[in-house]
Amino acid sequence: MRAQYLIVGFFLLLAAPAARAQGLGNYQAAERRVHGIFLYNLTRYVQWPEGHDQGAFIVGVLGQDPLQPEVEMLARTRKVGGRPMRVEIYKKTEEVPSDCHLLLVSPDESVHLSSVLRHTRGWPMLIVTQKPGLGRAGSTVNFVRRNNRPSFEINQAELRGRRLRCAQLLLRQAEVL
Amino acid sequence: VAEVSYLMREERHDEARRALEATLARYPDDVSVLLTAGEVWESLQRTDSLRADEYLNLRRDAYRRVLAQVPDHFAANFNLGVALYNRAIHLMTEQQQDTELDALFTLLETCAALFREAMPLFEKTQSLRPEHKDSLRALEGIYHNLDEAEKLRVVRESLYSLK
Repeated sequence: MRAQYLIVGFFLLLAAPAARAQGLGNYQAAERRVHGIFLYNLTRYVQWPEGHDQGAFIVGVLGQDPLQPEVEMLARTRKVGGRPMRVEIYKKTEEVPSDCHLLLVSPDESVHLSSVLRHTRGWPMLIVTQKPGLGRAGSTVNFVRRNNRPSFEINQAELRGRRLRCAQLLLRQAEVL
Repeated sequence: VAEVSYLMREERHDEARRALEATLARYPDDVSVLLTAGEVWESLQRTDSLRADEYLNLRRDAYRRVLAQVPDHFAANFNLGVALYNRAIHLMTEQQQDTELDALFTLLETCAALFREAMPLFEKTQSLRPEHKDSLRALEGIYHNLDEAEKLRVVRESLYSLK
C-alpha cells in the first residue's frame, strides 16, 4: 500500500504543472532579421546609375554594427541582379571608398553622420542609418519604428542627389521625406 | 495527468495527445489538466512546426480556461504570455531575407497583435511577482515592439536594478 502511494506521488510530482522556465525569444535578433529583409529589398528596388551596376555589389559597414551578421549572411546567400555581394568593414569615415554601393552606418557611428555625408557627397551610395531623426538629417534610408512595427524612411532629395532611383513598390512602403 | 506527462517524457506523442484529449473531455475545467494540456501542446508544437498556429490556439484555449476560473494564476498567465510572445518572435526570425515587403508588413501586424495580447498577461505576472526577471524581460521586448517608450524605460530600470 505504501509503495502504491509512493508511485502515485512520484507521478503527481512529474505532472505538477507550473510556470515553466520557458526560454524567451530574442526580440533584438527578430528585429535584426526584419532589418536584414529591408536591406535586401533595398538592393532589389533601388537602381544605381550606369557604370555602377557592374562587378561585385559592395555593402560597407561603418563601425561595429549588430546587423553585420545579417549583412554577411545576405552576402553568402543572395545576389544583387546576378552580381555577387561583398561586405567591407570600415573603422573610419575616410576609409569609405566611392565604389561602395550601400553604406550601413552603425548606431554608434551615426553621431558622425555629417562627416559621412560630406565625405560621400554626390557618390551613388545608399546611406543607411538606424536612429530616429537621421532621415531628415540627410541619410538616404533610415530604419525607424512606426505604428508598432519596424519601418523605414526614404529621403528622396538625397536619393536624387546621389543619382539613385527607387521603385514605387519601395516608396509605397516607406515614409517618404 | 500523470499518464500524459509520462507519455510525453517517453516521446510517445500520439498516445499522449489521445490520452490528453480523453482527459480533457472528462475534466474540461480541471486546472491541473488544463495546465498540463498547455505544456503538452507546447511540446507538440515544437515537434510539428507546420501546425504551430493550431497548437498555439489549443494552448491559448487551455490557459484561458484556467484564467476564467483563477484570473491571478501565475503559471497560466506566464505560460500563455510566453506562448504568444515567442510565436511573434519566431514569426519574425524564421522569415527568409528575400521576403517581399508587402508580406513582411502583413506578418508584422500579426506579430504586433500577439504582443498586444501577451502584454497584460506579463503585466499581471509582474504585479504578482515584481522581481520575476523573465516577466520583466518579456515586457521589455513587448514595450519595445509596441513603442511604449515610457513603460520601456521603467522596465529597463527595474531589470538594471535586479542585476
